[in-house]
Amino acid sequence: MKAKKLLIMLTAAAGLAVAQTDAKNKIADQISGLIETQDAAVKKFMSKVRALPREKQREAYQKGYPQFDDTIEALYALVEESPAEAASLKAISWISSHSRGKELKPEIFAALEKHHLDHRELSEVILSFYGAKGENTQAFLATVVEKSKAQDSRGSALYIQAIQIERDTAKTTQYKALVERLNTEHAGFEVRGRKVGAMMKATLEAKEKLAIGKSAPEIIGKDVDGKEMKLSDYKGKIVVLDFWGDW
Amino acid sequence: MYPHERSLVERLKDKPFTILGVNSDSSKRYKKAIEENNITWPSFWDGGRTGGPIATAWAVRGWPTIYIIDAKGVIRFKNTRGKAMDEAVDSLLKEMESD
Repeated sequence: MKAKKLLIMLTAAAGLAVAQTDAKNKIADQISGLIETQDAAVKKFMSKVRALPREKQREAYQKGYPQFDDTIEALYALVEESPAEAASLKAISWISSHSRGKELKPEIFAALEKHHLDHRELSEVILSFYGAKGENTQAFLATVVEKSKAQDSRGSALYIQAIQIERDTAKTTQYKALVERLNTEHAGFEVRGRKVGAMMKATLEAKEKLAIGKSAPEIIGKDVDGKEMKLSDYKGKIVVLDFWGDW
Repeated sequence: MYPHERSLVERLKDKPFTILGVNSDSSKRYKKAIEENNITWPSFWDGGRTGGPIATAWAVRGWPTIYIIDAKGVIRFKNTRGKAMDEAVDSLLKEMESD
């Protein structure tokens, strides 16, 4: 009797586990399916546009570019249904990188904070916030920087915080502090193989050397015929230094 | 761009002034641009690409980018174009005359 009961319990537990795994896979499959279908539609559209004569490409592109709204809504629904699933992270990245700078729904940030704050793949989600500048995004990035246990995610959050204010001249001090922190706490920080932390720092240093009131750094180069020339050759003259191209 | 620069060079031909270009075109395209637009002022050629050594050292991310440097070699204006460029250069010339 006891053994039989135990067996039933075990069977039930196994059944439940299988059902849970199935549900998990189903969500993951649905998310992948939606993304693959939409990506395939874009790919097909783009090859169609590229086959057109050059002068017609722009118009065709503007008129017929596949709309993402339905896919975004469907992905949102799946994420809201199973916010704790790891597959949700993939959906959220996709939504964010296809929302043209619009920030995610507030409940998504809540889900990310509750279920995925320490998840390794959160970093990819954060990098997809590149163009989204809303208040909720900023609050979430600050939370990640302070609380996430995943080193990569903290680095990515600092990087995106910096990127978002890079061009805001009123926030130069804040920007410098972020770049400094990125380089000290995440030495060698890379995004897809590019050492972006070091690059931001180098650009900052170059800009400081090139501020109004500073001595212009020497330029030693060549003209197009290979003749050497220097900026200092023109000392004593006012120089309009013009970085140009005929394009 | 070119007509304005040509007229500036023409107007100040007897003054201590020059436009100095840093060009990011391919050498073929650059030579063609010089001929077609009657560009008389000198240019560094930055290796045929936007990520050339001079543009990189000067942290240039957008083209055109303009720096106006006074006779002592000090950076005085950035990205001043059109009429404002003329005014900036004139103010520096005036400064030199009163020195």
